[in-house]
Amino acid sequence: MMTSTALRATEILVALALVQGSFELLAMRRVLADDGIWRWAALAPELGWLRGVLAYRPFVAMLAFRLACAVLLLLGVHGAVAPALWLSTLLVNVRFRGTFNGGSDLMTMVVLSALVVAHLGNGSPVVVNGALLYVAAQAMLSYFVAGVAKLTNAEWRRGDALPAFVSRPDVAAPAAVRRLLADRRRRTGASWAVIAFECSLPLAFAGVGAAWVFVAVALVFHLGTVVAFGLNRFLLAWAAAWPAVVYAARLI
Amino acid sequence: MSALAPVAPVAAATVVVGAIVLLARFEISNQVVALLRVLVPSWRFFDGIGVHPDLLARVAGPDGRFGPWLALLPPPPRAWWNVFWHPDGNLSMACHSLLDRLQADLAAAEEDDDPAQLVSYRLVLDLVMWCTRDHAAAALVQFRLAGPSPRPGASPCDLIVSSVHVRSPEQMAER
Repeated sequence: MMTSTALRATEILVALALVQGSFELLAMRRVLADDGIWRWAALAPELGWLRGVLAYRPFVAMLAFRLACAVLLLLGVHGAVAPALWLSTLLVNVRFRGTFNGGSDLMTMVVLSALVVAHLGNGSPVVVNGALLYVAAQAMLSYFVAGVAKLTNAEWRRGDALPAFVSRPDVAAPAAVRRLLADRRRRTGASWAVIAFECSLPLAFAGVGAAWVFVAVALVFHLGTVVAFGLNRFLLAWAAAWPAVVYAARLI
Repeated sequence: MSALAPVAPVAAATVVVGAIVLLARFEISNQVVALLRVLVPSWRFFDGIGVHPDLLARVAGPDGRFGPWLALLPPPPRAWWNVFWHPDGNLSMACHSLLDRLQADLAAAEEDDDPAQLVSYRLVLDLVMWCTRDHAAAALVQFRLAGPSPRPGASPCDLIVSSVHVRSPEQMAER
């Protein structure tokens, strides 16, 4: 994969992730209003100095602005688009006192940070390479660290963790998934499949072919997490990092 | 590109990632830094089962008589298009994150701290007000976070039972 192709693919995928996230936040904007859940009066003691951008009306305007910037990035417009997306996404997460959607917000910020650096480098191959390698390294860590953490956890090794997670009140997994994991052998197999996939991620850098295999398995893995856990935003957020993984495999 | 060129970005990316990984291992106590934690990714997903509380609330009319405890935050329905569009599901997850955050803040609070002064408490109270907004006559609201039962068949263990909160006239009128 050429440098420019990897960078452009990253831009397109993170732009799609931001379009999706912005539309979803705009659709639920009522809970951010002054009689909603994340009302400004409750947040003001911590965030009062950001009232001009994070109170309800300016915040909704900023979401619309972020959506417009994401569309511009999708169309290949650069300039100040990446820094604007970086800053507006940071502010969105600050309003939710850290993150709104957990890991997907973390990975989106990783990719946006790399894009800001890559665009600031005026096309310098060293800067663009560094930015893409940073994304690839974070993508590798995101799977590997999560895999090792599971490997060191007895509940995961026994196969007890997955059924516990799909039964959580915030997960609401489909009945078919819960039935599937009710069987001990199947849930132990599924748990070890997850651990093996996440821990084997460094092997994706063995070559371009291995990286594409990783992308294919990762796609299935993330579709599985959408079905089981409802983590739809994780799919595009992580997909935005996959071009960098394939690119890094070629470079390394 | 010179022979050294690939080394520079690899080294730079390694240093930055290494620094961020080390930063992510420190417990974040400073409020401003905590707000910016999206910049310091931690990738330990679903590593332990943990305790995820349920949110229950009860409401009373002007006569002060409370009804039964009701479980709030029912799981949102699922459909195939949730791969692309799942605002209800993501909102539900964010609401549950509020409960986790309150649980963590309560655990970190000093014994004589007033929980009602915590921002996380106020957000959960707003969540309760939001979820009970259809109870037109609800003048008083109380909530609790219930953890898992200590043993099979036993009642859930309460992590916190709030004081009774009066719904403001604005909240009643607007809802």
